[in-house]
Amino acid sequence: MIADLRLARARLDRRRLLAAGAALATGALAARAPRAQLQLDITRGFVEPMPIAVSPFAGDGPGARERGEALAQVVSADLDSSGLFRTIDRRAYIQSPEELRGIPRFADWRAINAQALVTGIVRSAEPLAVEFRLWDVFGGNQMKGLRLEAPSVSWRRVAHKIADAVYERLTGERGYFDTRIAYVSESGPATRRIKRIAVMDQDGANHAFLTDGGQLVLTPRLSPDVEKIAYLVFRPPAPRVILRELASGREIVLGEFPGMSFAPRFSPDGRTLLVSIAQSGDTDLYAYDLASRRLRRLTQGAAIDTSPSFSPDGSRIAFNSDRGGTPQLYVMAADGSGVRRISFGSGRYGEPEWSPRGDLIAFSKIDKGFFHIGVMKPDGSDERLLTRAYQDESPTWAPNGRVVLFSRQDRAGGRTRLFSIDVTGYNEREIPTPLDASDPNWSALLP
Amino acid sequence: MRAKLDPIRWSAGAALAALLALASPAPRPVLAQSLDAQRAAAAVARVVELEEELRRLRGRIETLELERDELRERVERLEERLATLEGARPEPAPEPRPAAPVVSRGGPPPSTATAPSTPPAPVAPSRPSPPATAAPSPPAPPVAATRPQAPVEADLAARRGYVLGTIPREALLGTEPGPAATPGPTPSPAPASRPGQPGAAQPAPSQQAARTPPGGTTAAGRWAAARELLQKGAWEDAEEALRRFVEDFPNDPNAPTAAYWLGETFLVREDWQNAAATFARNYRTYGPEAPRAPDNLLKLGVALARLGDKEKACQTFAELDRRHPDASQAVRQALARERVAAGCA
Amino acid sequence: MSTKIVSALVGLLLLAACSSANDTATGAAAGGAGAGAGVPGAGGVASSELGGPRGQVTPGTQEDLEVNVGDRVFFAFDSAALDDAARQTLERQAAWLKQFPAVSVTIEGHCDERGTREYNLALGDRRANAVKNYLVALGIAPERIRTISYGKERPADPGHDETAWALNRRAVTVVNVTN
Repeated sequence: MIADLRLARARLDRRRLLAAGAALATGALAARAPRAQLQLDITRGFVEPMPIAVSPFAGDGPGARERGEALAQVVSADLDSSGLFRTIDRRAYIQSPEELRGIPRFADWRAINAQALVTGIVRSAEPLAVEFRLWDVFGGNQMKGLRLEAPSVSWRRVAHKIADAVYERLTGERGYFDTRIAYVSESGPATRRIKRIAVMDQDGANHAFLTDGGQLVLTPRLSPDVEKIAYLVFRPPAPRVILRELASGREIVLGEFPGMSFAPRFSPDGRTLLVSIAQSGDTDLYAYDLASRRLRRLTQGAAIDTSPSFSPDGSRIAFNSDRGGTPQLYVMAADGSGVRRISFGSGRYGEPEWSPRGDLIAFSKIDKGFFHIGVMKPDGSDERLLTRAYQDESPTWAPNGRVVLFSRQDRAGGRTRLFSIDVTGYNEREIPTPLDASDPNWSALLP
Repeated sequence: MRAKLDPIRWSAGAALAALLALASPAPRPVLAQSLDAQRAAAAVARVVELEEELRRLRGRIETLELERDELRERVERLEERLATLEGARPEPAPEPRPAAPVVSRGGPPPSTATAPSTPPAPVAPSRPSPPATAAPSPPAPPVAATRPQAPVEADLAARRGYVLGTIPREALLGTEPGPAATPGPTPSPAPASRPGQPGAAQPAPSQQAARTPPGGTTAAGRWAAARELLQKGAWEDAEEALRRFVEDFPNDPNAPTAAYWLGETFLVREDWQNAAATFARNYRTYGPEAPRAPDNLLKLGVALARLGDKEKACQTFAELDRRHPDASQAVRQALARERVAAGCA
Repeated sequence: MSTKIVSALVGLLLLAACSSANDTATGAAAGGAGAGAGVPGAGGVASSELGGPRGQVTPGTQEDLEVNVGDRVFFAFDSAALDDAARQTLERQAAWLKQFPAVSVTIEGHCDERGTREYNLALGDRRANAVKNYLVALGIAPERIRTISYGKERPADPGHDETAWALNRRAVTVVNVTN
């Protein structure tokens, strides 16, 4: 397990932190001048990333230095990928990792305009024991210190946890680097596409296929504890949802429902799985209690009700329905009562995904020939479109509610790939996968 | 094996068939089906169409309900406003000076209490400019208390959902884009005195109202002070400081940038009219080569779009596209997004 | 480019097929069966499987259904309504099914790619059921008809234009092999 013992209490400007936190709750950046503290403010969209130095970690004993090098690389890549930081080329560093075992010479780091500095020491390579510190270069003090231990196979997780700690301390928001992504890997011609469920770390490492492509599989969803995965499999006699334990690979076919059952979604407490069941041309939402195996119907009527998403507190469900003639977004109480339509803009909406923060609902929308990923408040107000492309689909949130991952299909090449974008609409970037990719699902922070 | 039964629809079909049998003449030419089967099938197909029609109608109702709710809300707001007008007559300025209509500078909300009954003609809440002698002059917010104000403002802006878009941090720090070179004007390394002192080295913005603009008499000082206000999100004060900076130092190299930010202070407060006017004036005054020229056009378009003038907004966006193909990536990205948002072709 | 023209022609043929019962042109075989079916851009030729000359088709088989009856119907965007052409095809299918009472079929509902994955799964189900209900009303026993939706997962035409989309919004009647 990973121990979190604070080596030294960073001297915190409590008031400033709170202020930053409040601004963060509204979500982009206006950095205040000399101190290494970002203020995120959604109304401010885009800012130049904060320059930060991540020194290779020093090492005690065999293999420790190489590991320290690798850890620093993963931390740098994580921070860069957020778009909020820019790690300074290490060739510009004046102090060596060994010199950085003590208090840094801040003047050396101010000289290259680093606002913050990450240093570390690998105390032992197996099991891996790492100490790292985050320094405010202009303030000249330590902002964070952590000691982490883990079996060396999990070394990348250690690096992600460090990146999360840095992100959290500098932005005031929770990190999202120690997470995984489940998705559908695609290959072959469009008319006979081969699809496999795959999972990987948020940065693409530790990639693994869970299914072999023999059966058509779609829409994977990770459980909140990231121990199980639910997905749709086309297995006779009807397409249905499979629940699989990630560690053991054990599979449970979910209930013998009368028609096709699909679109699985976990409740925030992991106890309930929402599914859509199609029967005689009508599709309705059901809540399936995983412990009691009881099925409760939530919607009815001659319409399509699908793509549900729980609010983070579990009290409400957003979903997609064509009860109004075209696919639109609706919100109801978790028991199915009080249905209210929330999307009234032009176009056809789908795939509502409630932010883990609760403040926004991401969705996909097709309007005038283009697909968009967008966000709106849960009451339907303040719709903002983040992307526009031939086909953008399947939004899923980073656990801190600041980044949206989605799949994009090109019109020309027909390729389908994963992209992420900041909720402000900036920092769109591709998440590389070995083959084509669709239906992404971003896990919660790993326990 | 697994037959999916749909008895309801079939019987509905049969019922409809019976009805249709009375009404409609023989259906299309037959292959091998009996006339009855033909009618039943036609009815079944009709059910699908009816269901689609039903959903469309329901959608129409949903939209109408929304419109009704919005109307109701608007009426309620109107009634409230009427009530205020009829009841407590609006506050007068402590010293009515209808001349010199200095555009609203958010002071504290006018007190309705002691108001003598002279309703000021101008509707705009114009605060008498220099409170001159009046001792209880509308107080500028105490200096220390300005700090927590920023998040609140930001939060407000966020709740309105307006995205300002591109603000390179350098702009706030003072150096125009370029690589993030100097860390800011006041590096002042004095680690010991740091913690707990908000804005240690700030040239405390003494907001002695409009009289003496914060930042002293030098251009540099005034510019720094105006930026300070921007950073804090004190939009009203920033507006005033920026306006006076532009007036007092029209030839300062920072004047175009200041003028741009002046527009932003309106934008963030959703004063689209003033925002549009400012951005348009900036573009005319400083020309297409000036720093911030593309930003001015972009924001002009945004403001126009918010004013509901889609056509002019889209023209402005097109102009930006045409005249500034080399605008920064941030501007280009924002342009693309705003065009979509405005619904430009 | 020419792929589009060819597939457009195929589309027209398919739609025209409704009036003549014995056309031989069909779109890509059901489910895109067979190796190398309809490779896009390969010299612009859309390969579509032709049944043998009329007399050689084995009655009561998928081939018979495709060639002599028409195995699929098409839908408007986001609709499961059966137009006149579709109804005529289904009437022929019903007659054919009565001719071969041992045959059971699966109706596959499909969509174009211009909708979300999950919504399209539901829409495909709605289309398949519209077809099933029509056939049942025409006197076919419901036990002989299964439905399945593929959503947008199995396009007949891999293209990305209106012609391809129109060809992909379909319900295909497939003869069950083991019964």
